[in-house]
Amino acid sequence: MIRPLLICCLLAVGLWQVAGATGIQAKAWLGQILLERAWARSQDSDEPVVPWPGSVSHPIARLQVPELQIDHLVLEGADAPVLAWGPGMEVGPHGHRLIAAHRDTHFRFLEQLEAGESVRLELASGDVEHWRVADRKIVDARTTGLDLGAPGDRMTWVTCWPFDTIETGGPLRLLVSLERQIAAVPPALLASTNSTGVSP
Amino acid sequence: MMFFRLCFITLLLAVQGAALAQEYDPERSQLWLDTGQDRISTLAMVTDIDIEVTGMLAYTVIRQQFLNDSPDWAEGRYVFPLPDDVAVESLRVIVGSRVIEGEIQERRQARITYETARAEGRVASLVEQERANLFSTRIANIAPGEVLEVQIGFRQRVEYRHDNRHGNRHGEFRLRFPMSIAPPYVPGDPTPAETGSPEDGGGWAENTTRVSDASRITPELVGPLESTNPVSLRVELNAGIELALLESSHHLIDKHFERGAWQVSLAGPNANPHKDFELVWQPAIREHVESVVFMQRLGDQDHALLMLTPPEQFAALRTRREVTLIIDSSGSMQGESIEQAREALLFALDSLSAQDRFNLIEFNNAAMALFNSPVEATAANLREARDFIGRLQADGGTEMLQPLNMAMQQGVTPGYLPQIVFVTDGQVGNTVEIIEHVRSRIGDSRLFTVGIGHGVNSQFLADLARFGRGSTVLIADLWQVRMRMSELVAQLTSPVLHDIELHWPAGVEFLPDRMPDLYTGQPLLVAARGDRLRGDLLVTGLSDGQPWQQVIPLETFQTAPGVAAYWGRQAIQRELDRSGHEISHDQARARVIDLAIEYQLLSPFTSLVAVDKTPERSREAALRRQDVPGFLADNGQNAGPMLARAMPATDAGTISRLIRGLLALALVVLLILHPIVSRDTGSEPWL
Repeated sequence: MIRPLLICCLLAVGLWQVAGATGIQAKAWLGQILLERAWARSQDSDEPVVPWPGSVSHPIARLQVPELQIDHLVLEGADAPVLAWGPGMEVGPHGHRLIAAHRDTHFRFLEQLEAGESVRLELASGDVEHWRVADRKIVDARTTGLDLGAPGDRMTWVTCWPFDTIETGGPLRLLVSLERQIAAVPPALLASTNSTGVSP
Repeated sequence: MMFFRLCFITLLLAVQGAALAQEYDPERSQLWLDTGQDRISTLAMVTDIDIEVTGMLAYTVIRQQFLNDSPDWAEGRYVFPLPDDVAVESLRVIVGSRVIEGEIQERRQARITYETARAEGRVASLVEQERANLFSTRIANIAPGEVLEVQIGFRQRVEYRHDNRHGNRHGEFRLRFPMSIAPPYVPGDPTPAETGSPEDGGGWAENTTRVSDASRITPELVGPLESTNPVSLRVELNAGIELALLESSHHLIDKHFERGAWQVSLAGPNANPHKDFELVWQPAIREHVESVVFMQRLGDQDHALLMLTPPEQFAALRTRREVTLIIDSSGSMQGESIEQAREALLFALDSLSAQDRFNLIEFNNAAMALFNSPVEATAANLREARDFIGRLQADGGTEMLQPLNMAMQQGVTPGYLPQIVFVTDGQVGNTVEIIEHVRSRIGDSRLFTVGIGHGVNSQFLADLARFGRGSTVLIADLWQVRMRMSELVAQLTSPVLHDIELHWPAGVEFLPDRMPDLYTGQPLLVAARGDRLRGDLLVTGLSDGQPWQQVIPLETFQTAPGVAAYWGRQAIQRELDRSGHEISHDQARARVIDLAIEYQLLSPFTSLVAVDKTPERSREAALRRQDVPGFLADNGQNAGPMLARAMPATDAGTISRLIRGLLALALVVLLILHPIVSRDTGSEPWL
């Protein structure tokens, strides 16, 4: 008598948990597809395009890592509701770009990311920035903050660490810092690129 | 129908529409960092905090060193927060090898003493209480190139919570020390004070009709990135018992056991003064300690502090609840704070059962309720509430009266227990007005407060909960939400111990004179005074209709310093609470001054003043007044140039869900296969 009940309960719990996990992945995947449409439209207009009615944010950049075949649309803001749909970006007053995403969805690839990897960031304005991975470090979120107001050309990526732990919402974070690459631009154009592409 | 219900109802209090509120403008307070560079660098300051914990009380000495490296004589002023409910009892100024002791004087008299000494060119210092947890120090006539040290000594209480849930019996002690002030929201019409007058505090806000001392409680603040003023902190913990846990919630610490006590200090030379310090410890013994008595004899009277932890029954609350959740979405909640508040609300929503009712109110400049009146906690309604919470944006002012009014006046459904859960950082200037409002209108509702972020006004939130007959929890970081909210939810859903009465042997004064209701996990704290405290104390109460009683023998006590000061502080608080309704303001004032002089304590009507007997300088030398900036709370806000953002939460939870799910499915497969396998081997069928 107890046994079928036990089987039913376990089956229900199992399916519910697996469905939850699938749901998160599906949301992350679906978000990117829906954002793709909004992104295409925002290329033609000056105003931010709302991807779908009631959405929490809108795409502001496209992030590409050609080596790892990564291509994500980045949303504005780095709050929890935003991160469910895609990586979120906050920009400091002096141009420090902070991108956060979940370790089990969009930033899964940070595990394989190595120093020196090139990264392409396309902004809504149409400007394209080239960056390179400079450094990785692990910090404790309880005692470390991010300095969004830091001056200079900076980009920092944040995700939870370690990647394969069962614990949810742990205190450790992986910080990836990137440095701007301007070598590809001819020296003559350097000044003008800097003034349009970098300043916030 | 869903669409109609999705429409939000906005309520506006007509009266408040016109009042122009002043908001903290980081640009303005930042100005002097760029242009008036010499203003800050001429008066550097070092803060040193030494805390000694014995039993339930701590004695703290906070040492502030001022260095005047300008060529002129200078006066320094510094506004600083202290823990809730402190009893400030000593002031000492050290100039070179001389030590000047301070004394308690009536507030106006103290100010005259200080100003006279300043005009005469003597070294003088004045400590005044601006709010129960906010103080200011002034120090006059610091010679060019001189280092001057001000020491302020006070007593504070250690917080205790016991947790008997899940058979996991343990008590937890918490010691909090605020390291920063967050800028408060100041409502009302400006009524600027004359520059240089006693009413002019030199803060960024002008006095207003609703906050008459706004300029005194709004000092210039330094952002997280301009930590010019270093802070060090040490704790000596005489726990008296073996500890299972000793850790700091927001700072890295060094700890070691020496001279029979735990020595704790902040690791690294430069601690982050923008995060509040919290030390947590748990005793290794898991037995339920029913009561502890601490005693101190002062003059010809015994003073006692009793702590009693009622045992708990785990019958769930039988009454149905009507819960109104209020969330502060003002500008000061930007950044990590709003995330914490969101998580806390979702946690509270999860605690609702199907027969409960609820409503959700958001406020900044105006309040907005999700539903017209409380609705049943159905899946659809809860989903709507979760969507509402997900869309919250922090911006605007902090008009607190409106949402509280809405919650207190929305009409209670008969047969339900009305509970209000108020999630905020408490950063308002008009605290007195709000507390008075709640006191007179709370009715049958219970008000629970959830304090969010660093630099939270915890004293204000504790006072609100006290008058609202509820309790308060503090959440400073995102990782604390689950732990602290589960404490609150246990209190919301368990039976409360009420109608508590104390039966003393004879001739004993005790405080609080009206016992509060006790929620799960809270100890009962009583301060008492009598000629001779001996015999047995009988405590009785009712819980969920069941009588409860406990006997505390007063013969077995531990002597502890600070008990008399604790009594004095509680007695002062009683008079302040009664002021304006049970007794007149003048009566209260007179009684507070008497008590403050008797126990040598700082109060709203008494100050500490220290004056050097030898004149230091000529009258002619120009005295320049310097404001030393306080510390701005680091809540990861995005406003202005001071920008330390907290780490975002970056785990969606796929892995844990997937593993749990697959584990359950694997068990199902095992259960199905098991009979087949056992029949094959011929063993007894399982189950």
